[in-house]
Amino acid sequence: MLHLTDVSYRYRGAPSLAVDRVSLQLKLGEIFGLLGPNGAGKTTLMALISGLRKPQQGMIQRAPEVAARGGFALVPQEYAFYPMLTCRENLDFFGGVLGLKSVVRRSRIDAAITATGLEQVADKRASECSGGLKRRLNLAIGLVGDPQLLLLDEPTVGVDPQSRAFLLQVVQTLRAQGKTIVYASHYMEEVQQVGDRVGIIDHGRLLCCGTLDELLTQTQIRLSVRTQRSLAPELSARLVAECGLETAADEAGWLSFVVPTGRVVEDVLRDLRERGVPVTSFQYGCRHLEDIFLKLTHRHLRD
Amino acid sequence: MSVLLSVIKKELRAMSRDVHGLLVLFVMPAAFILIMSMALRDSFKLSVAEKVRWQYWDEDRSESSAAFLKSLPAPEVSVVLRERADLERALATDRIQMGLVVEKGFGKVLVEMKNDRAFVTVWSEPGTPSALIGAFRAEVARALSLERISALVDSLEDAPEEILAVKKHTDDKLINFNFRRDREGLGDLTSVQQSVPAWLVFAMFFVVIPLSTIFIAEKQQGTLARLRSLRVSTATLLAGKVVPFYCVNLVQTGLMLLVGRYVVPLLGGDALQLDIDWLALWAVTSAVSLAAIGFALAVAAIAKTTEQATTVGGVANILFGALGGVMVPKLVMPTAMQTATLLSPMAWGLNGFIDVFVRGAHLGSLLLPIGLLLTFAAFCLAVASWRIRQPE
Repeated sequence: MLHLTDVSYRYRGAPSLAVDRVSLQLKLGEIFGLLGPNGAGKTTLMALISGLRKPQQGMIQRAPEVAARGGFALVPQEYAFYPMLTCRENLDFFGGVLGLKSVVRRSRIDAAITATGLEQVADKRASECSGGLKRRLNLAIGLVGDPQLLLLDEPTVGVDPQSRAFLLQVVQTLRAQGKTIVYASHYMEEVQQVGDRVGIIDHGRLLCCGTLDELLTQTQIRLSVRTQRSLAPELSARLVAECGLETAADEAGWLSFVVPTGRVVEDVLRDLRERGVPVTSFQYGCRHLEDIFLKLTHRHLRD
Repeated sequence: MSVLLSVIKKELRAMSRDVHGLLVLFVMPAAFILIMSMALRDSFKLSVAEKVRWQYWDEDRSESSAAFLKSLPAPEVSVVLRERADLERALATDRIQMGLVVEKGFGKVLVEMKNDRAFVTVWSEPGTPSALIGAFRAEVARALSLERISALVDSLEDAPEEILAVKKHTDDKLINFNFRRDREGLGDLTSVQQSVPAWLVFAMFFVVIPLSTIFIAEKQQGTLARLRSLRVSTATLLAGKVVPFYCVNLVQTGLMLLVGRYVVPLLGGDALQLDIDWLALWAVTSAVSLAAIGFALAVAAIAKTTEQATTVGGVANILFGALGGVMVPKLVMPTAMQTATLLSPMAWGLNGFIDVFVRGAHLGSLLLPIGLLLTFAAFCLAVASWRIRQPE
C-alpha cells in the first residue's frame, strides 16, 4: 500500500535531519501508530507521505489506489477548515475540491456526518463548535473523499475523555471498514489501544517498529505500589538498594519498581512493609508501551 | 473547473460573513467620498474669489464707487461697519479675510490718465491663503479696469456707437473658456468628479485587509496544506481568490458611482456626471482590481501572520495613496512630487479614472495606465505563486 525506503528530509537552515533514513511499509487495513515526543518528526513524516514535501533522499512508493486523487486524506493536527462556514458547508467545499459530483458528494457528506456524530451540529458554524466537535469535523473532512489511506496527525489533542473515546472508536470502525490508518500521537495509551503496529520516532529516526506484542515483550515487568503518603526520593533509592530491586520511579501516585528475575513479589511487598512503607494497593504484571518509549526517547524535556 | 467553482463559492460565503471586512471595503470609501466631495467642493469652482470673506468701506460714496463695488463678488454681509476702523477690527478678529477701502475722490481720479496715488486700498488678514489673495486682487483689478473704461467712455463727447458698446462687454463675455476633453457634455469640473476616482482606487486596494486575513488564516490553520495535499493547484488557489475579489471591486465601483451620483447631492454637493465611456471605465476598473488583488495576494503569501499582513498592507496602501494623489490632489503638488506619483500604482489607477471621469477618455487613450497596472498585477501574482509553492 505504501512503501518508504530510506526517506530523509532536512528543513532549510536546520542543523539536523527532521526525518532521517526512515524505512517503513504499511499494510492494507492496518492502523500504524506513530509515537514520538514533540518535535520528533511525526508531522514531517506525515507531510512526506502525503506529498506536501518531497523527500530529499530515499523513495516513497504508493499503491495506485492511494496515489489516485482522493486515495488518501491528511487530517492535520490544526483545525484545518473554515470557521465561518457551517460544518456541512465545509464538507461540501472539500468534497467539491475533490471533484465529487453533487449526488455522490451529498451522500459522502451524510456518511461523514453520521460516522463522526455531527448530525446535531451539521448546520452550525464551525467557529461555534466545541473543541471536541471541531476535532470530529476535522476528521469528517478527511472522510468525505472515502480515502483508502488516512493520515491522522494528533487527532485527539485538546479534547475531553468522552470525545477522545468517541474518536478512537471511529478510528477502529474505519479499520473494520478496511481503511489503512497512520495514527501519529504522543499519547501512548491511545496508540496502545488502536495500533496494530507501532513505530517510535525520535530525532527523525524510526527507533523501533513492530506489533504491540513484539514491542511489549521488550519491556520489563514492573511492580507498582500505592502508598498512604508520597515517599522522599532518598527513601525510594534506599528501598531499591535494601530490597534488591533495580529501579524506582514515582509517577501519578504510583511508585514503580522493576523486580529482578528470581525475586518473588510477596517477598518484596513484605520487605517494604517491614521498612515502614504503608502499601495500600499494588499492580503487577502489566507491560506498558510507555516503558519502551521512555527508554528509547529518554526522559529529558522536549519543545 | 468544478474545483475552481467550489473555491470561489467558498470564498464568497466566507466573505459574506466577514462583516468588518465588508465595512472596510464599502462604508469607508463611501464616507470618504461624501466627506471629501463636500470639503473640496469650493476648491474646484472656477471663481476662487467668491470664497473670500471680505468687506468694504466706501469713503467716496459716489456712483462710480458704488458701480465698482457692485461688480465685485458679494461681501460678507454679517460684518456691519460703522466707521473705517471697524474694517481693521474685523480683520484683526478674523471675521473677514480681506478688507477693501474705496478712497475719497475715487470717482474723480478714475478717469485721470496721470494719477500717482492709489484710490483703492486692500487689506489682508495674514493667514489668508495666497491663492485667495491673488484671486481677490485679480477681481479688484478687473472691476477697476471695467469701471475705468466705463468712466472714460462716459467722458467722451459724441462718442461713436462702437466705443459706447465697449461698456456693455465684460471680460467674461470676451473669453470663451473650455476644458479640453475627449468627450462632449461632461459638465463642470467638480470635487465629486475628483473624489470618486480617488477614493475608489483607495478602496479597491484595501482588499489587502480581508484577503490577507483569510489567506493567512488558511496558512496558519493548515487549510492551505490540506488543500495542497488534495492536489489543488496554485493556479486554482490564486484564481479562487482573484475572481471573488474582482467581483467585490466591481460592486465597490457601482456603489461608489451611486454615492457620487445620488447621495452627495443630497448633502448639497454636485452630482457625479456619468456621461462617460463605460467600456473605458470597465477596463480601468478591471486593471485596478487585478493590481490591487495581485498586491494583496503577494503580501498575504509573503507575510507570516495576519498582523504582519494587515500592517504592511495597510501602511503600503496609505503610502501609495499619499504618494499617488489620493489624499492630496496631484495638481497641488510641486513638479518633483508630481513626477514621484508615478511610483505609486494607485496613481496609475487614479490617472486612468480621472481620464475617464474628468477628461472623458476612451479606451484607446488609456493603454498606458492599464498596461502599467496589468504589468504590476502580473508581477505580484508571480511573486505570490512562487511563495505559495515554497514549503513553509
